[in-house]
Amino acid sequence: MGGKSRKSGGVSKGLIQRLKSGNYKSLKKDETKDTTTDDMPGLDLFGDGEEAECGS
Amino acid sequence: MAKKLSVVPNFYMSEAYFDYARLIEHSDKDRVWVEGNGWCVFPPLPYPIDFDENIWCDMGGLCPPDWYQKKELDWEYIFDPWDFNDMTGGKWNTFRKNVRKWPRGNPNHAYLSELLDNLSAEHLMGEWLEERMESAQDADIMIKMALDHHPNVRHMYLYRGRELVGINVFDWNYRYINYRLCIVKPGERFLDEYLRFLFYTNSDILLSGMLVNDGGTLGREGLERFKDKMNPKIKRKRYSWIKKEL
Repeated sequence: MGGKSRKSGGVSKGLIQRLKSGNYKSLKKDETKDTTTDDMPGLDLFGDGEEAECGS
Repeated sequence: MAKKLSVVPNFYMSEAYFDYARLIEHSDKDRVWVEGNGWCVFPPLPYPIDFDENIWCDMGGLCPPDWYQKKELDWEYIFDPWDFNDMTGGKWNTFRKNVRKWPRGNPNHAYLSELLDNLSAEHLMGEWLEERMESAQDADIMIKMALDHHPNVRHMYLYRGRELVGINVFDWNYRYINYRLCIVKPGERFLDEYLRFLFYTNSDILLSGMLVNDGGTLGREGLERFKDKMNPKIKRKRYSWIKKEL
């Protein structure tokens, strides 16, 4: 994360395998959408209907 | 409180990091402090003269009293997104050249704010962490930042065709945008440079008018050289404050 940890480092093989096989418990966007977004100062970042930006 | 006292926040001071790292905020009538993993995470605010617990990461504008010794924690890099929009002059030669390489070989790519399917993000996160099995720090927080949804965290996704090859993750505090993660598909040369370039030159980042805190180097010399080539606006040390042995 570009940041140090207060704990010991490293990551387990098991966790990596769960991620790679798609078995990590990921949250579904629609279930967790929070409407209380704390906007960045001076900008409604990626508000509803924001166009995707092409990288090419 | 940090904003009120004009204290320059560090990389760990954001609502999202507080939530994912399960930091607990305490206060009494005189001060506010934060605890996590047995540490007082930041100097209490306002900084009390009588405080003598070990402190994990300091902030700008605060000096430790005599009874502490400073121990280097990490660098902290601050970038101006508009510098990436210009990239003029000799000091940008290397990065400017490297940024062009991945898109030249992969013209069919798109940088999107929407994730097309959750499994591809999990898979990419797994591949990326596998490369860092021994060295990853705070893997649990990184995974949550990358895959979960938090009102104060934003993601951008880079696709090659329909294949997810990169994820940018950021959040913010009152002073900086915090560039949390640049996750790239392993083995793709110069993709890291390009994904970072896309992050900094995104119109929303540019128009925010904010500087970006890009975190540190985790003691990795290669990462330090890499970030130095991106011409930081500010490169500063962060310290832990440890009680002197008497």
